[in-house]
Amino acid sequence: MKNALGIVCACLVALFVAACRGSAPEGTVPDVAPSVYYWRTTLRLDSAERAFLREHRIGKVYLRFFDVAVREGRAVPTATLRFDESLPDSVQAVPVVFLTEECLHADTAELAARLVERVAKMARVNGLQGVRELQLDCDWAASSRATYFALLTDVRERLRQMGWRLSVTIRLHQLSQPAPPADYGVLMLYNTGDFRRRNGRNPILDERDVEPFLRSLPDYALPLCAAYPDYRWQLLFEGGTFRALLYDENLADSLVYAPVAGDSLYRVVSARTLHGALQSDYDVRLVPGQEVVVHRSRADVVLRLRQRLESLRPGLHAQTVLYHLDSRYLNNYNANEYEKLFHD
Amino acid sequence: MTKWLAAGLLALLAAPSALACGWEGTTNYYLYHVFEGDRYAKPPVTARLADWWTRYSGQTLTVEEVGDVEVLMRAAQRKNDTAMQRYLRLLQQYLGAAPTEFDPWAYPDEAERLEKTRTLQEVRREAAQGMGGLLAPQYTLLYIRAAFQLERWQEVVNAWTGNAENQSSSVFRDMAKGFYAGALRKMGREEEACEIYAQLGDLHSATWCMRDGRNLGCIRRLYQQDANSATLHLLVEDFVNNAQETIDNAQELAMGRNGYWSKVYQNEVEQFTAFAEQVAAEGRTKEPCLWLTAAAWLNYLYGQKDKARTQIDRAMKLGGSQAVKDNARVIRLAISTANPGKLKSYEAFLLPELKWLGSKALTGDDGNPYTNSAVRIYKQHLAPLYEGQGMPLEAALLEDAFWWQQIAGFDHGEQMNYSSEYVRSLLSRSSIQLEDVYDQLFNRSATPLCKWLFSQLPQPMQQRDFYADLIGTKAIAEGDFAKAAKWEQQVSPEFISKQYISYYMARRDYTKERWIGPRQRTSGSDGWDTEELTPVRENQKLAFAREASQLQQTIGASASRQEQAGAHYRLATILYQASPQGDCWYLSKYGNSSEEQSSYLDSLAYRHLCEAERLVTDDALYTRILFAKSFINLDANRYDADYRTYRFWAYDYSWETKRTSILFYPDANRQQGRDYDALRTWLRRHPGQATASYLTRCDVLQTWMGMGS
Repeated sequence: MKNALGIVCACLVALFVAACRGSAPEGTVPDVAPSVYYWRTTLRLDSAERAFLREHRIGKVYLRFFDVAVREGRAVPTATLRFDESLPDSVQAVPVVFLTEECLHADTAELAARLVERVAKMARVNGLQGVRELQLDCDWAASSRATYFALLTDVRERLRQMGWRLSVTIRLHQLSQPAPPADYGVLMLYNTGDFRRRNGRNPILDERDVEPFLRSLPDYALPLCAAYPDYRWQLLFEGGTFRALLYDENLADSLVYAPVAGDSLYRVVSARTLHGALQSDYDVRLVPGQEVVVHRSRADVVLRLRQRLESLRPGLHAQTVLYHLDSRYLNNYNANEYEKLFHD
Repeated sequence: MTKWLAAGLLALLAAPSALACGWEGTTNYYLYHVFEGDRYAKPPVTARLADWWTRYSGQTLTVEEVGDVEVLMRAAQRKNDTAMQRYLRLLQQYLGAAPTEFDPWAYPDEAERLEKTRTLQEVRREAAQGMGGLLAPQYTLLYIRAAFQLERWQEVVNAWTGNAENQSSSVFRDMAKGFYAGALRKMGREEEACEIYAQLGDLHSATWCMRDGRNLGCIRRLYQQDANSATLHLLVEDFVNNAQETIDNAQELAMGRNGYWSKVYQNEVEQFTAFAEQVAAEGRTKEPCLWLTAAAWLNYLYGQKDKARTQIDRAMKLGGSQAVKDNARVIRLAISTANPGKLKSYEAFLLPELKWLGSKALTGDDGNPYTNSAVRIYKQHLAPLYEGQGMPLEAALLEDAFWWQQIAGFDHGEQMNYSSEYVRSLLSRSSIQLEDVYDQLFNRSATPLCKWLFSQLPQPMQQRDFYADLIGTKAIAEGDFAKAAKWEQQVSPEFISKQYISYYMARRDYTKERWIGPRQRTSGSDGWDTEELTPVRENQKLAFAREASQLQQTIGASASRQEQAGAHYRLATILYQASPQGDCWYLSKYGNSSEEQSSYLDSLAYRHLCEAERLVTDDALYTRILFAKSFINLDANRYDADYRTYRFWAYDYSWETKRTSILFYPDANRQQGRDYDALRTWLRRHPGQATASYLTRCDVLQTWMGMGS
C-alpha cells in the first residue's frame, strides 16, 4: 500500500514538473561534446587540424560520408568520403549523409535501406569504433516534407534495430514547420542569406536574416543543439548579378585581381577562364570589371547570436558544433573566441 | 551537330516575324589557337581505339562496341588469334575487378577489397609477362592500369619510362601515357603531369595542373627548362587569349585611367610580347612561328598594327607544326584587314585566303577552332572594312557570307531569308544606295570577290526581281512613290506569292481607313493566324505606289479646295495603312514588330491630314479628319528620360472589380493630347457632327467627351 502510494505520488510529481516546463520537448541531445563538421571528400587531417581538435577538446566529428543526388533519374551516392587516415581515438565519429532536395522527388522506395546499409558498411570497413548515430542533412521544403519524414521514419526504425540514433539538420526556415521524426536536430546557423544577392549582408551569417525565424525556436518540438560557421566565400559578381562561387582563388595575384576595399572586395583586371578541378564542370569566365566579394564568418556576430539564442532556448548550447574543420579557416577566430564558442 | 544547329537557325531566321526576337550570339571569338589546333588535329582516343579494332577485326566497330570485351573476343576467335584471346581474357579479368559500370550504392568490404587487390595483382603479374611480346602495347597498358588501380604510382612511372615510352606510336601507348600523367600528379609532380596532359590535348587537366602558372614568369621558366615544351602551347595560347579578352573589354580597361591595375597587366602583356619576339629570334625553339604569331597578334590588339603586319609576314616564313602555321595564316588574314591598301590587289590576296579558311572551318564537328575564327574575321574585320570603304554591297555580303557557306548543303527551296544579316544590312540603306547595288550586281562588272560572295546566296536571292522588290519597298518607306512604282513594275505577283507577306497581302485592303472600324484580322486555312504562302493576283505594292503617286499629282493639279482636301485625306489613309501601325505594313517592310511604333509614313500621313484639315470645306470630312488625327500617335516611339513612350490613353483592368476603365494622360505638349482636345471642342460645338456611328462607337472618345468642361 505504502509502495503504491509512493509510486502514485512520484508520478504526480513528475507530471507536475513536466507541466511546469511548458511545451519544450522531452529529451536532450545525447552524448554532448564540443563538435565539428568535416566536409571534405578525403579524410586527412593536417597538424593544425589535429592540434585544433586537441586544444579545444573536440569530442565529436560529424563526418560527411557521402551525398545523395539524382543522376539519370535515380538517387545515387556521390562524392563518397575517402578514408586516408583515421580520426583521433578521443573523437567520436557521427556519419552524415547530405541528401539533395531533388532526391525526395525521385523514387525513394529503397532509399532508407540502401542508405543505412551503406553507412553501416562504410563505418565497419573503415574501422570507425563506437559509431552509434547517423545524421541526415537535407534542405527539405513543404512540398517534400511528407516524403522526407517518411524516409526519416524508415531510417530511424532501421537504425534502432542496430542500436543507433538518428539526428537531422534543421534550417532556420524549417523551425516553423513540424519537427522531423528524429532523436535530435542540429540547428544550422550558417548559410542564412542568399549568396546570389548583393545586398550588403553577409550570406554566411547575418543576425538580420536570423531574427525573423527565432519566434519558433523556444518551443520547437525537438531537442536541439546549434552549429555555427567558420569559413569564407569568394563570390563573383558582375555589377549586381551573381556569376559564380569561386573555389579558393588566389586573390593576391595582381595580374588578375586588384584589391578595392581591404581584403573583402577585389576587381578583376584581366580576363581568365577558370577551369575547375579535375572531373568537374566548374568553368568560370573572369572578365575585367567583375568583382569578387569575400565574405567571412565573424566571431563577434557568432558569439552575440549564441548568447541571444541561449537566452531564448536555455540549453541549446549544451553542444555546439562548428562548420567546418578546415585549416584554411582556423585563424578566422582567436583561441579565446573558439573557447567561448565551445565551452561557455 | 553543327549542321543540325545551322538548320535549326535557318528555320528560325527564315520567318520574318522572328526579327524582333532572333537570338544574337557573340562574334567576338579568340583567333589564337595553337593548343586548340593541336587538339582538333587529333581524333579523340575513343575514336582511335575504335579505328584500331575496326582494322584488326576487318569490320566497322563503334566506340560503344569496342567497350564490350565479348565483341572483341569474337573478332579474335574468328581470326583464330589465340594470343589476342589470352590478352582479352586478362582484360576481362581486369574489368571484373575495376568495372567501368557498377552499382553506385555498392561499397566494398574488406574481403571484397582484398579480392579486388588480389585480382589486380594477378593481372599485373600476367601483364608484365606479356610486355615483351607481340602485344606489348596492350599488355603494357593493362599493366599500367592495374598498377594505377593499386595506387602504385612509382610502378606506373617505371612502366612508362622503362617500357611504354620506347614503344612505337599507338593508341595504347597514348592511353598508357595518360595514366603516367595521372601517376605523376598523384605524386605531386604536377608540372611534369601537365606536360603529358598538354601533349595529349587534355585541356582541363593541364590547366588545373598549371592553375597558378598562367603568367609570364611561369612561361619564362618553362621555356628555360625546355624550349619545346607542349605546356608552352597551352600557356601561350591561354596568355594571348586572355589578353584578347581583356582588350576586348575596352570599357573595363577605361576604368584603369586612374587605377594602377590595368597598368600592371598591360606591363605584363608588353613584357610578354618582347619575350616572344626574343624567343622567335634566338633559335632554341622548333616553333618560332608560334611565338612571333603571338607577338604579332598582341601588337595588333594593342594598336600597333603596322608592326603586327611586319611580324606576321615574318612569322609565316618561320618553322612550326602545320597547326601552328595554319593558325599564323588565320592571324595574318585578320591583321591584313587593318591596312589593306588598294582593294583590287588586296582582294587578289583575300579571295584565296577566304576560300582556304572556309575549307578549314567547314570540316569536322564541334570544337573546330577555325569555325569561330571565320565568324570573327568576316563579321568583325571584313564587313566593317568594306563598310568603311563605302561599299555597302560587299559589307552586306560579308556579314552573312560564312553563314551561307555553313548551310550551303541545305535545300532552301524558294525561300528568301529577309531576316538574314545580309538583307537587314541592305534594308538599312537608302533606295538610292540600293539602286546602285542593283546596278553593281546586274549592269556593271562585279569584282571576283563580290561575285564569289554573291554566289553563296540561295538562288532566289540572286534574282533581279528580289532586288527590284527591295528597292521598291524601300522607296515606299521613304515616300518616293514614283520610284517605288518604277521598280515594283518589275516584280510579278508570282514572285510576291513566294514571300510570307503574301499571306497578308491576299487578305487585306490598304484603301480602308485604319481609324474607322477594327483591325483587318486574318486567319489561315487552319483557322489560326498562321502565316502561309498565298497566291496573290496582283502586286499590291505596285498598285499602292501608283495610287499614292497619282494622288500626289491630283493634289497639285486640283482646282477646288475640297478636292484637294479629299486627295490629302485619301493619301493619308493609304499612307497610314502602309506604316507600321497600319494593317498593310507589308507594303513598306518585310516583317513587323510591336516595338516599331512609328515611321516616316505615319508622320507623312499626319502631315497630309493637317493639309486636308486646312483645305476642307465640308463638315463631315472635317470631322473625319480630326478623328483621324487624334487616332494617330506620333510620340509612340519617342522615349523620355525614363525610357517611356507617350500614349494619351490606355485601358486599365482592375482585378478587384473585374472591369476595364480608360485612363487619360493629358499633355498639351503632345500631339495626340492636343488632337483629342481639338476633336472634343469641335464636337461639343457641332453636336450634329457627333452622331456618326464611327464616333459613337469609339469608347475612348465617348469617355473623353464626358470629361472636362
